[in-house]
Amino acid sequence: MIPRVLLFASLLPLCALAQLRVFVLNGSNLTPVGSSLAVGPAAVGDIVETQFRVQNMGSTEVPLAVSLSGDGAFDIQCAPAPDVPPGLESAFCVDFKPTALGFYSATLSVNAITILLTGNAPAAAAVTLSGSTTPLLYGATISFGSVVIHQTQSQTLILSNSNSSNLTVNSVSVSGAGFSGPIGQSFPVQIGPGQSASFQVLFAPQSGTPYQGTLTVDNRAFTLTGQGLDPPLPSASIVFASTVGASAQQNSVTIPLASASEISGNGTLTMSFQPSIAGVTDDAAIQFLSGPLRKATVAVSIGATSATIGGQSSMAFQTGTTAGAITFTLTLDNNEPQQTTLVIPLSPVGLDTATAIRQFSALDVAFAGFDNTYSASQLAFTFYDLTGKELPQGVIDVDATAVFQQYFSTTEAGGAFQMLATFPVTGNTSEIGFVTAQITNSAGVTTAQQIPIGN
Amino acid sequence: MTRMWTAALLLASSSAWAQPSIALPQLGFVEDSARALRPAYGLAGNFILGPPIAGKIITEAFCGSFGLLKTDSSLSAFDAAGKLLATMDVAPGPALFAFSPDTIAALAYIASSNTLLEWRGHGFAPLSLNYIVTSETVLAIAFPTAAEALLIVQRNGSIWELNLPLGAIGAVSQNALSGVRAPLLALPLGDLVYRDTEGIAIRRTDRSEVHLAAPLPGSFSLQQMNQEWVQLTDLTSNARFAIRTTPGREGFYQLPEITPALPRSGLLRQ
Repeated sequence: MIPRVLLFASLLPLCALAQLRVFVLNGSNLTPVGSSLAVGPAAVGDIVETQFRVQNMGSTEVPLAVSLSGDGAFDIQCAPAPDVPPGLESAFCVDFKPTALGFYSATLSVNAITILLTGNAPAAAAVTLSGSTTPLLYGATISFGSVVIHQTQSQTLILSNSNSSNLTVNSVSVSGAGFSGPIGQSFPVQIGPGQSASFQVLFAPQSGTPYQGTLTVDNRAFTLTGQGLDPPLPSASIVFASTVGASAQQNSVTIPLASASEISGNGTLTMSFQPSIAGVTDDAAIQFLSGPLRKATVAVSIGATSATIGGQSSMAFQTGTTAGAITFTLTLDNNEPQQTTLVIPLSPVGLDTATAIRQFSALDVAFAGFDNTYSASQLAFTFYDLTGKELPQGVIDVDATAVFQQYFSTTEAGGAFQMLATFPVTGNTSEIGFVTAQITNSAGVTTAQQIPIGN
Repeated sequence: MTRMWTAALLLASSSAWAQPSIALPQLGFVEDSARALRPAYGLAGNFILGPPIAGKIITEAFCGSFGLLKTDSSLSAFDAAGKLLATMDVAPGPALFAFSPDTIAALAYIASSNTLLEWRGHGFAPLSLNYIVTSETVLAIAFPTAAEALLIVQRNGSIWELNLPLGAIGAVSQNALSGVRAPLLALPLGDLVYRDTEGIAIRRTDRSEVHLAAPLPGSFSLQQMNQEWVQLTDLTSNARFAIRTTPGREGFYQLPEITPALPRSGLLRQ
C-alpha cells in the first residue's frame, strides 16, 4: 500500500506539467513550441517581438512562473498572469534586440518547461525611407497613404551599409495585392562601407479598400499599407436647353460631365424659386415635369459622359409665370454642391390668346396670358368698323388695377390669368369688325392688334 | 351715313362698362398616370393640374363645354366645372368619343359591344349602327353632322374613313385616308391629328398639314382635352403630353407628371 501512495504522489507534478502547453502566435495562428525556437534574424538596433501563449489544458488552475536566463539581447516585455485558469491561456512576449553582430541565445522557462531561444544579428543594410534619417525597425510599417484607384504611388527606400566591410543584400521582395517592386535595383547587390543603394516599391490600388503587403529585405520583413480611394466623379455642369429665361416656357436641363466617369455615383438636382415680386412666395407651376416636383435623382454610371436625371438623359421643367430666379442645385457624391440660376426677368404681359365675340347686345373681349410682375393695371380698347375705321368712341380706357390685385392676391397659380371684358352695345354689333387692346403692367405695354370679332 | 350712325351708338355709355372678370385659365381635362381625371389650368408651356375629380378612367375627352368619360362599366358625361351630368351602365372596355362641331352633342363608340351612343345634353341614347365591324380595328370616330358618324378604321394595313348614316336611310360610303398613321384623333371641326414619321401631324380640313417634331413614345393614345388641345398619353410610362392644335399656334408640350396641391374643387358629382 505504501509504495502505491508514493507513486501517486510523484505523479502529481507530472500531471501539472502536462497541463500546460506553450504556443507562439504568428498572426492569428498558434504554433506549438518545442524545445527550441529561432527568433529573428534582426539587424543591430531592430526589435523582434515574439508573442507566446500558455494554455492550461487541465481542469484545475495552475500557477504560472515565466523566467528568462541568458544574454541581454532577450527580454520579457509583457508579463504573464500569475495563474492560468483551466481551459484558458495566458499571454506574454519576448523581445529580441541585438546590440551587436553575432549569435544570441537564452533559456525561457515556463514552469517546468524550458525552451532555448536563439537569435542571429547578421550584418545587414539599414533600411530607410527616402527623406528620413531613421532606419526602419524590423516589422515597421511603410504607409503609402491614400491613393486613388488606378493611380500609382511610389516609396523610395535606401539600403545603407554603416559597417566597415562590404555587405550583400541578396534579395528584396514585395508581396501583397496592389503592391509591386522592387524597381530600380537588381538583387543581389553589394554595398560598400558607407555606401547605399535605393529601390522603389509601388502601390496601385484597384478598389477603394485598405491594402496590406510585405516588403522582405533578405530575412527582414516590413509591413506595407495603403488605402485605395475611389476616384472623384468628373466635374459636372448644369446646362439648359435654352439659356434665355422667360415665363411660361418649357425648358430642359442636362448634366454633362467633364470626362467619362471612372466610377458610378448618385446625387440630386433640386429646383428652388425666389420670386422678385414683393409679397409673392412661390409659383406652383415652376416644377420638373417628371417625378417629384422640384427634386430629381441624378445618377452617373461608369463610362458615362453625362448624368441621368430621373432616369432620363434630360429633364424638362416649367418656368412658371412669376418673375424671379430659379436656382438649380446639383449635389453629387463627395462633390461640392454647385448651383446655376435661371433668371426670369420682369416682362410686359404675355398674351397667349385674345378673342372677341359678338353677343346680342354686347361684345366680349377675352385674353389668356400671364403677368409675371403681378402689376397689370390699365386696359385700353379701340374698336374699328368693318372698313378699318376707328369708331367715334376712340380709345376706351379701363383701370383694372383693383381686379388684378384682387386676383393675384388669391391665385396659387402664378401670374397666369384669363380676363373677360364685356362691353354693352346699344347698336348693331355686326358693324364692328375688330378691336385692338392694350394692357399695361410695370414692365411695359402689350398690344393685341386687330382681334377679329367673331360670332 | 347709316353705318356711321350705327357705330356712334356703340359703347355710348361708358359708365355701363363692367369691370373685367379675371380667373385662372382652364385648359380642359386630362387623364393622369393614375387614371384619374384632372382639370388642367394655365397656359401653353405652363400647365398646372388640379386635384383628381374621378378615378379608374379608361377613356375620357373634353370638348370645351362638356366631356365624356368611360370607366370599366359606365359611361358618364360631365360639365366644364367637373360636375357629373349623367351616367349609364355600358359594356366593359375602352370607348372612342367624338364631339359635334358645335360642341353640343357627342358620340361614344364602345368596341366590345359594337355600340354607338349619342349624348344630346341630357342623357345618352343608343343609335343603330348599320354596320358590322368585323376584321377591322376602329381607330377613331367623328360626328360631322347630326345625321352621320364617321368611323376611321384600319383594314389590311390601310386606314379608311367610313361614313355611316345615323338614320334608317342611306348607305355606308368609304374613303381611303392616305398618308395617315395610327394613332389618330378626329377633332370636331374636321382636323385630324395623327402620328407622323418624326412627330405629330395635324391635317386641316383643306388638307394642308402642320408637322410638329416630337419625341413620341412607342405606344400612345390621343384624347381631346379641349377645343384646341389634345392629350397624348404614353401607354408604357407615366409621361403625358399636350398638343396644341390652334392654327398658327401649334405646339407640343409635356404635361406635369405630378402636380402641386391646388385647392380641391369641382368634384365630379351630381
